[in-house]
Amino acid sequence: MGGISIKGTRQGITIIINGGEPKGALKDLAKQLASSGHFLRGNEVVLEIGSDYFGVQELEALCGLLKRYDMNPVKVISESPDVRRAAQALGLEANKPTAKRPEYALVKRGPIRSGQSVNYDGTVLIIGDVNPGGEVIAGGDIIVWGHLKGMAYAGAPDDSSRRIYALSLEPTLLRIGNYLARPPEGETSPGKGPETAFVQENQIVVEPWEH
Amino acid sequence: MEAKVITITSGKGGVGKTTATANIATALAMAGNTVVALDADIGLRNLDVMMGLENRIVYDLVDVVEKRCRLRQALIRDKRFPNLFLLPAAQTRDKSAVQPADLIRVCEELRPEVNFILIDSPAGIEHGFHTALAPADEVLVITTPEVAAVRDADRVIGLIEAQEKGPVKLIINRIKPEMVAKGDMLTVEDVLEILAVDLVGIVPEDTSIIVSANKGVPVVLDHSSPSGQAFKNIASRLLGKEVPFMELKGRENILDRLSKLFRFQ
Repeated sequence: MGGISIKGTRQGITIIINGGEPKGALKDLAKQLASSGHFLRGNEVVLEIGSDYFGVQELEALCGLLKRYDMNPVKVISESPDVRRAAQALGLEANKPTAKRPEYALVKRGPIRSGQSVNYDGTVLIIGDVNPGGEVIAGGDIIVWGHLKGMAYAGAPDDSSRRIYALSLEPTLLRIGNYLARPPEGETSPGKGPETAFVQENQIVVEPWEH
Repeated sequence: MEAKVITITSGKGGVGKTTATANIATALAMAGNTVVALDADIGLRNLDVMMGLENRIVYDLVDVVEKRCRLRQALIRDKRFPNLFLLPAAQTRDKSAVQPADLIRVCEELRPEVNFILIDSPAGIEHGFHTALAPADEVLVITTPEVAAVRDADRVIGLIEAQEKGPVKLIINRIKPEMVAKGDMLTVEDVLEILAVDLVGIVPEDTSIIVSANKGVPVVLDHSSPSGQAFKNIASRLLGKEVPFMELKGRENILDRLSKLFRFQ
């Protein structure tokens, strides 16, 4: 058991602590940082903690260690409510881990017709149209290589970081995580080209899909 | 002979299933085929009325299924074409009287003796629809160029494909060329873009259909009727002939043209 891994992500650094007793984990981390910590300087850090034994004290020690290397811990992700509470007490953001998504996308040929529903935990790619009355519900992103005229729900049930892409976005309803949007009434403007929808500042926004 | 079983369905009611069945069956018979038109709309039968055979019904489909008569006794020979037959629905019963397996059995019995069996499906997507679909080798979905009808056609095509009864062929009925020209009605292309299936016929709106239905004389017998010609074309395409689609041109009056000139794009 034990074991620590450090991953670079787009958001910064994620340090994963796989259970075990905090003292040992801290020691392991200190060792790793001593050898490679200077590469990580100046980054924001997300801590994924798989152990139940990190209280306020242990977390404080962990954060102190990171700060010595000029890293800024911002978020703790843990299954354990105790660990999350301790993190909040220290002024850190605390989240439950999101369910593991399948690594592969589901590819489906359209049209997805009225009354048909595509449900998948990961990302869904529809080659063809999603017709009015048809729906796509994905744990990950949704990409429609065609007209999206039905309902699309990306990041189901609560992952608002997901996106919906379509060559032509004319949905009856869009949902991303906890957010919901419908196109303005009476406005039909097909031929706008490919678009993507995502959550920004607590609402779903639509932009041209350029890259 | 090994008959082809063709089910005609739509999802939405009132878009012309029965009219299409009566006319395509008649047109196929006119071309020399032995045809049975089978009314699967039990409890709401109409095909007999459209074919002008209402008062000749003695036995019906339910009598056949429940073995009160032999299949041959229930077949009604058409007044004009000796190679066209109607197997009428029962009016006093409902859809539960015939199961999918029953209809498959009836069609199997007919298959060696005829060229075509055309099944007039009831509206809806419930039991009666599934029964009508069960024996089909080919399915014609009929819609009108209206949003609600197209939506229902899309739903029904999805169900047909899920049962692997496709590929579906589409008939677009009651097109009003004037309205299409003005941009007030969905075009054939609009409908095809949504439904993405093969087109087998476009039928113009035609008031002579009403007269023909009331008289029980299918409109394909009226050689001056544009809708009659359209149904004859569908029959030809079902027989494997290449027939160009009718050019539907609306007559534009001077006011329409003026208003089009001044319409802002």
